[in-house]
This record gives sequence, structure tokens and C-alpha cells, in this order.
Amino acid sequence: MESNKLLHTATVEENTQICADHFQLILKDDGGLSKTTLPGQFVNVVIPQRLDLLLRRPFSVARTDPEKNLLYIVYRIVGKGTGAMVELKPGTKIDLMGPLGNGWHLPKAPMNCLLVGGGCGVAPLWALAEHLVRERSRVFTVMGFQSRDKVFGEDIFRQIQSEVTVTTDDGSYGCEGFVCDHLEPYLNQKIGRAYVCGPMPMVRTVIPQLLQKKIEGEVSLEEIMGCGYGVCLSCVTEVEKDGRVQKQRICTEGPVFSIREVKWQS
Amino acid sequence: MKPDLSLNLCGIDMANPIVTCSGTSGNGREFARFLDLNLLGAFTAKSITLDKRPGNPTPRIAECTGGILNSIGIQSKGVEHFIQEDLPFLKQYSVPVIVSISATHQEDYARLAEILDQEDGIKALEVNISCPNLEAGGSSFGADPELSGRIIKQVKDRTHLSVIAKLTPNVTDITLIARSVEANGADAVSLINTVAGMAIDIHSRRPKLGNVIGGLSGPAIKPIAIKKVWDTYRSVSIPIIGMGGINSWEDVIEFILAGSSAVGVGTGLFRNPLVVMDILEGITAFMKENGIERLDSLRGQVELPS
Repeated sequence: MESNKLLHTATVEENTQICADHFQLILKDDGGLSKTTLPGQFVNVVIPQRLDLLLRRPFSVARTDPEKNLLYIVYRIVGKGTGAMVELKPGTKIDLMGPLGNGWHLPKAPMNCLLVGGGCGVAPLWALAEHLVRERSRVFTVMGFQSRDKVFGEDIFRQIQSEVTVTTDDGSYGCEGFVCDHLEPYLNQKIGRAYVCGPMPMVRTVIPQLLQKKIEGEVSLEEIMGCGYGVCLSCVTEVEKDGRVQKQRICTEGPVFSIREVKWQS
Repeated sequence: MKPDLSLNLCGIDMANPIVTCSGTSGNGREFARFLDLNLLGAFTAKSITLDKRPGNPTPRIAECTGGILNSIGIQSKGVEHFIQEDLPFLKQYSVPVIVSISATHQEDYARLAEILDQEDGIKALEVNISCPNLEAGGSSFGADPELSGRIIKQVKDRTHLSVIAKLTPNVTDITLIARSVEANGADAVSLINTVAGMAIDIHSRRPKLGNVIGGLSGPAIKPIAIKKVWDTYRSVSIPIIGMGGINSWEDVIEFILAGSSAVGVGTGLFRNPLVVMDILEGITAFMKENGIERLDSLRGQVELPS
């Protein structure tokens, strides 16, 4: 039965604050997830000892270290679930379902890639950037945050050898403004593929710029999920395929969608 | 002694009393990645409508204290799609298949029954009468005893399949509805559907669901469901599939003591798709410990204070 491949136990190795509102959770498993999860896929997590949190919580896997059997999750504190996750101590066992959904489509040959992330949306680009650089693509990353205290990942992406532009809404760090205000220099770099993840207001400003320059791209979406494995139909989004608008499940047909197919306007 | 969990529920031979609740395990494909469907007593498919329905705007689900509020809005690809794409998958299994049918116009229920009656691989139709009746300003069909009875009769007239009426708890007296569907030929009733509810985000001041209102499921509604099952058990003689917040074998025993013949597991599958295995193990151990040979000997056996 495939359930053995989808239900896992992992142990908390580290759970550390990386900026004002984000934590990085490093988990160790037996390889069931750390060796199989592709960039852009997600896991659905049971918060242990919290039976009051009825639903699992879905998190994109930021990166894996297959040799050390490690799985990285970067999460923002938004509610009860993530609030409880802050309390997870090293050694605690947690229950994960995954890998779920479809990851980013990876280019078959090296090319210039533009990664655009906003806030927590920077996390799902981490493993992608590592993969692209390893496969000799040139990676440009534009990452946006509200303010200086909420910036994370700049050092990591620089270490991976991506060129990085950081923006903050209030200008307290990096370039002032939104990511969409600072894409222009990169859009003229013969970008072969763009990858986008962030809040919808950001997505709505980034996609038209990519479409205008005829750049192929993908966006990773999120929505509140019930099951994470395709049965409850809570996390749907509208996608236009073959001239027809249809509802697709972010957990199953996504979370990664083509920017040409996803209905990002409304 | 080997405990016997099997039963015949209105003509459906079931290996055990555990049924999936409609809408919580899709049409089998995704759920079968976790659990062999043949381990279930019966599989209930997601409510289908005559034509395609887009469902409600997101967010469609919100976690509340002890429960989950949802408003999916019967997103359906229509009955033809179900017959072409989903039924063949379910037919690979020997598990009895119950198909839930839903409509916003009365005559669509009968039409669905007629179409599905032609198909092999279906054991029963569950008639979801908890949907809003668009011809009567959006109130639920299932809140009106006469209308509920009429729909069941129309469905019964068009099919040889067993017909299960799924009852809404959002009524003053569920026994009036139960009696009416029984009088009109229902072979069983399943209850309860979700409890009407609403939740508001105090910061944005917006409802937590895109559809504003929704239905509550999960542990919070279990006592409501137990009472409705008990009320219904004393009012009708057709079997009851009890459901509402079942997460453990203890919950199942409680529902059976209240009068259920079979039970539905729904929201609990989201967190743990394998909960059915734990439940079956737990029930078997409980029966052995207490020398109970047949599970149905417990049905309705709640002992009231004298």
C-alpha cells in the first residue's frame, strides 16, 4: 500500500527563528521524505500533542538534504497551528504526510532563470535555486519583504550563487518598493523560465510583466486545505485549459501552475 | 470467539459497519492511495449532480474549536463524468458503493436515480436532501417533511437500488422527516449532515468562508448527532447510518448504542486517512474483552436511568 510512502514520522532537529515572523524547522526522517521530495512539493503536518488542531497544516518543503536525511520547512506565524509549532523542541516526533502535489517543472538544459518570492513565498524557491545552479542554470532572485526585520534567505540565496535583489515595502532594507518595481533589469536578461511564489497581490503584479515579455513561468499557489490529498475540494483555484475555465485542486493538480493557465486576475 | 462485525444494511452486505461519509473521501482514487477500499463496510462517493457545478468561492474551510466549518458547495463534474471516469475505478473493488446524489431542483433527483439505475457497481443511492431548494427560496428540501418524502418517493419509483435518505440536523424535529421518508419507501436513513454555522475573522471582520455560512463537522457535533440518532431510532424501523464527529472506536460503539446499524467516518479522515484501521482494531478488541459476538447485538442498547 502506498500509504507507507505517504505517511511518515520525523524528529525535530532544530526549530529556530530566522527573522521577526519566520521560523526554520529542520526535521530528520528515515529518507522517506528527505530523499524523495522534489523542489516545490509540500508536506501536511500534524502538530503533535495538539488534538485540538483537527486539520493537518500544509507547508512547502524549502529544501532537503538527502545525504543527512534532513527536511527544511520555513514557516510564518499566522495562527494557532503555526503558533503551536514555535514550541516544538528538538527530539519531538511529528507526523507528516507527503510528498504531496507537483513540484516546479525543471528545465532540461541550463538557462537563465528568474525566481520571484514574497515573504514566506521565498521558502519554496530555495531547493529550486539549489537545483538550478547545480544544473548550471544562471539564477536571479528577487525577494520582497515588508521591512528589514522580516527579511530572511538573502545570505542563503547568495551562498547558492544566485544573484539577489532584496526589496522592502518601506525601504528599510535593500531596494524600496515591491518586487514588481524591481524586475525590469532582469526581464531583459533572456530569461528562459520564471518561478513565482508569494502573496496574491504580489503575484498579480508580477505575472503581467512576465507575460508581456513572453517569458514562460510557473507560480506556486496556496489556499486553506482540509485534507491535502485531493478528497475535500477545499483548496481549488480557477485554471484555463484548452479554452475552458475549470476548478483545479491546489493540493493535487498544483500547487505549481503555469502562469498562462492560472486565473490570477481576480 | 471471533467477533462478527458484518451486517446486512437494507440489502447491502457489509463486512463491517464503517462507511465513508460522502464528500470526505472523494471518489475513491485519492483515498485508495492510503487505504484499501475493500477494508471498508461501504464506500460513499461524493455528492453528484445532474450537470456540472462549480461549487462555492474559497476559502471553503475553516477550523473552529472542536470542529471544521465548510462550504464546498457540491462542486461536481456531473453524473456523466462520474459514470465515465469514477465508477469504473470503484468497480475494481468489491466494497459496496453508495452514490450520493444532490440537486437544487426536485425533478433532478429522480432523473439522477433513473440514470444511475442503469449502471452496474452501485449498491445504493444516498439522497442528499440537505441542499438548498432553489425553487423555494433556498431553504433546505430536508427541512420539510412532505417535500423530503416526495423526493424519496420519486427516487424510489425510478430505481431498484436501495435508497438512503441523508438527513439534516438543522430542523426542530428530525423524527418528522425520518418518518416521512420511511413512509415514502426509504430503505435507510443516514444522519447527521453538517450543522449550519458561521465564523468571522475579527481582524478583517470578514466571514471565514467565501460562502459566508457553512456546515460544521467534527468532534464538536458528536453529541448532537448521538441525540438525533437516538431520537430517530425510537421513531422509525428502517436502519440508521450514524455519523458526526467519529474519530475512534469508542465513538462508533456510542453511535451503535444510540441506535445506529452502521456508522460514517468523515472529517476524521482528513487528519488520519488510516483511522478506519484503528477503529476496526479497537472494536474487535472491545468485543473480545466483553464477550460480544455480534456487533449488532449492541444496537440501541443504551441503558436509561429508571
